[in-house]
Amino acid sequence: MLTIADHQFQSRLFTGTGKFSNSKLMLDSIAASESQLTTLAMKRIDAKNGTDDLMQPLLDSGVKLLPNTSGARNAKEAIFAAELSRELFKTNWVKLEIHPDHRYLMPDPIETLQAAKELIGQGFVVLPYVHADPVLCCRLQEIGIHAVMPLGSPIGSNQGLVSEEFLKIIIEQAHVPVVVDAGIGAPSQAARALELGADAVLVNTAIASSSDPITMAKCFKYAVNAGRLAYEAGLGGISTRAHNTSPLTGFLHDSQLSPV
Amino acid sequence: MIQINYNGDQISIDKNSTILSAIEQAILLRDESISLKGIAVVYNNKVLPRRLWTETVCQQSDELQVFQAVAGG
Repeated sequence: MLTIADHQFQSRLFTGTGKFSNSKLMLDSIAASESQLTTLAMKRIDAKNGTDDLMQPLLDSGVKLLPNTSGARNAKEAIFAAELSRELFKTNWVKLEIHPDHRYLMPDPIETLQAAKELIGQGFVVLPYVHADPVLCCRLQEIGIHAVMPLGSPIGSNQGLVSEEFLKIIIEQAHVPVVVDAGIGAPSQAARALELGADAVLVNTAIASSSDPITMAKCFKYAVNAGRLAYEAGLGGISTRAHNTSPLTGFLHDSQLSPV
Repeated sequence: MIQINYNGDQISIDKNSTILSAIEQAILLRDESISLKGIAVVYNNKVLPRRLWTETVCQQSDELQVFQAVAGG
């Protein structure tokens, strides 16, 4: 069971609601994933391009909402977005994300640390989206964030765990849950993150951009479960040379087949 | 009537309108289909809690921004 800020999750697969071709497909995919936490963004209402109300059907489905601060370019804007999200979504949980650069959407570590401090002071449950930076993750832990969300690779890139070696260090040093966010493009990559000891993964693009999102959502569910079970069972050691799994009894040329 | 800025557009609403009334008038004027349950309001650049929508009266040139949830990762 995964616990973040006294809230328990049976599923270690967190989902995002972006990029689905329609709301029904998004809702059905999230239901198929059995995810219990899903992200949403906020936007000023646009009279010309009205959008469906996504919040109520998600709440009706029983999933917990994690509003993000996407669009914020600095700490000040992120703090404002968090205050607005608390009013809109009636939750003090926030996925703190500050990425001023549109090409790579790299999270700004300085602004993120600053905003996290302020939001913790205001009583928010803060889950910051960060680069896979072990030092930053420690600093964020020290100020009382509730989980860290280091990236696997750039948002929406489906490149997988490019940051794997650094994720290992973050996981080793973490006292709060580690949620690998961004870039996970295939169920095998989600399984890998869990095998490494990540507490959860957040997947959006890989599900939404599949030609069959509902099936892909199920695939991620199985992958995350398999990865977690593998972590709990303990992976075997890795070595360069072979170690026989069958008896090497030589029944033809005994002397040639004996282990070296 | 007074003029306010609503989501970037200048609109005219009744004098002494509360925030709630201003939003309702704006929705009618702009023919929007918005559920009041699913919105949050920024009034003159500050988040205005829902409980204050009926207690706050709009003034000439006030700025109202109305936000809703959208899909995102």
